Amino acid sequence: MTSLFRIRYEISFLIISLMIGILVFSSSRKLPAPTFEPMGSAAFPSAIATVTLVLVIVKFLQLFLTLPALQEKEEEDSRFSRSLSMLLLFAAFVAMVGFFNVPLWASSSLFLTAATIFLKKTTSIVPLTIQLLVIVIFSLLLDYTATQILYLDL
Amino acid sequence: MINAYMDVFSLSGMLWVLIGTVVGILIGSIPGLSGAMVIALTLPATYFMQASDALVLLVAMYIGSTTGGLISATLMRMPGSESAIMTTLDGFPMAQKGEPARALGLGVVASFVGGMAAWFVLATISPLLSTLAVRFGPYEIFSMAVVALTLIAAISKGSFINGLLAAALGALFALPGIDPISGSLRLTFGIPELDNGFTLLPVMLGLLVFSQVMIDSGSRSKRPIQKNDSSSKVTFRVKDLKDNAWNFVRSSIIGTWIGILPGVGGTTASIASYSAAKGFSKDSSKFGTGCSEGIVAAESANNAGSVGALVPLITLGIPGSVVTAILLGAMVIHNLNPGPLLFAQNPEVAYTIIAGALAANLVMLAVMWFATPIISRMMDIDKAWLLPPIVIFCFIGAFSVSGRIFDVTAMIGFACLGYLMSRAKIPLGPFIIAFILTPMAEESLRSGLVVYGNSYLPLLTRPVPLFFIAVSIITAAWAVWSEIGSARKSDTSRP
Repeated sequence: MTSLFRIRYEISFLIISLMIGILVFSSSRKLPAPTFEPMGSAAFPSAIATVTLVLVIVKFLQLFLTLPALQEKEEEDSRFSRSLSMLLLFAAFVAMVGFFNVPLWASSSLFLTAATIFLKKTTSIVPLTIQLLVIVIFSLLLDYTATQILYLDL
Repeated sequence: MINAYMDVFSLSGMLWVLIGTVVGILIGSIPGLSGAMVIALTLPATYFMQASDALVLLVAMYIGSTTGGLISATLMRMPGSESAIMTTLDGFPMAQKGEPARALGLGVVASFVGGMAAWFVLATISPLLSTLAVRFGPYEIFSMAVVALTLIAAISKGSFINGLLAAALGALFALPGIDPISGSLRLTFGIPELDNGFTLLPVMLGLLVFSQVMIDSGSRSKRPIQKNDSSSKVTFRVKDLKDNAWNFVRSSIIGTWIGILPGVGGTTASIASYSAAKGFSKDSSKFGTGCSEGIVAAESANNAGSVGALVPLITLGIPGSVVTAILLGAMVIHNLNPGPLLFAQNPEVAYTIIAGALAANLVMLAVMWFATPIISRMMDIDKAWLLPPIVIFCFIGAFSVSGRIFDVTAMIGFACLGYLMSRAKIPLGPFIIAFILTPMAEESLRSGLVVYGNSYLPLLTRPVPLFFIAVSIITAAWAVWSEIGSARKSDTSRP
């Protein structure tokens, strides 16, 4: 199990590739037959999906027959959680802007503050205050540029 | 042609060149950020620019970011760009010996010489190659796409299987949307937003930029900083020019011709050139200890390779590297029809790129020579200040495509995929290039079948497709053979 955990990223990627390959292959079989040209719209997707599935199988065999040596240390889990946290912060930002209609300047201020503090904790009051001020000014400029100059519907 | 040069060398044109080169050098010098990222982030901003200004800006960023990697490679032993990896081997040791100014000067001059040599080839060969490319039919275009994908899969980091798998996945994601021949919808799974397929910009922003931000967010590493008050000045000795004259020429030639090969790029060029310089050197033991030959070989070749990669882009519409794939995307966004007919239909676009490459090389020399002390201070910017605004720019860029949250959601999805691929050591280059080339390849193959009466035989009987397919097969065989050889060596070396 430890060996499988070491190669969890490879396994996850192969499972996702397998699912995408199967999905495309099965969907392309439902496409209509060609009429005025020999190949049709299903040929390319089917062919590439088949190639993908074959490569996934080859890669699975390669992975399990020659398990790579342990290269990463215990801080691996914290790397993943930090990356995931950044993704979740961004997802929250998108939800605020896209679904809860929070103004862009407010959403981006919150996101930038949360992300900056997450990446580098600031404990002193003065640097934190300067940081917040810079972030709010930047967010206001960004909001103006996006909505009044680029006319984005945000 | 003259008009294109006059436009680029006008006041407004040079302003774009200066902005692009400076931004490119800045971003290229910061480890963790890449030229591909900054070009992908700048793409949405170019919607509101004239096509010629946009291309000049992006080409200048491309050339600037290639050279910018020299600064952190020399001062911090961390290549700012992938193509500067070989520069760290001798640049940093020379800086540590107390000669950082000389190391930077060698790198800057080598970058300029390599870039100019490749520019000369670009300016002279491209028009000639384009007259040949105009005669290309559908099977020629299809075989070119196949060879580009095979080459980049074979030469990318990791195994050939990984490269092929990445390419296959990229091709799958390019398929949903409107069938290029029949015009009917396919593989949209009932999602109306997929009627036009996945848009290029969210894919690139997610895969190249946001996934890198996620990786950088997870890293807590601190950089070793070379502290030296005079560390960021640039000097160059005439003696170094005399000692390395043939090295300059050889490395530029190697870099240019490797860069021209579709799917290869500056990194491979610098590795090949470094190896060649070591082989030709009178004292190869000096390599890796701070010798001038190593720096010249690496930097000449990586800039020559980067400019050389523009040749297949503008003559055949085949990207020579991931960054040129993004430039191809920029041309598509501006309705410029990249491909073998670019010189015939839009010659001013092709000559604008050529003129832009010349201007960017000249500006790069000036900026690197005088502004390196300022630029080197930018490397100390904490990623806590850099990464969050980059994420916001990704959001703006993805949303600006069509004003849909779907594109932002797609960007998040591709970012997760890119993160997974990076952690699993699957290369991203083949994915991006396959995503861009697959529609063209499919349309060409299916058109070819209609033109040649349902026959695949012209793929083997016509000389150009036969040549490209032969190259693909040889490349694939070489890649597989190399992997089997490496696997056997690692088996025998295990206790």
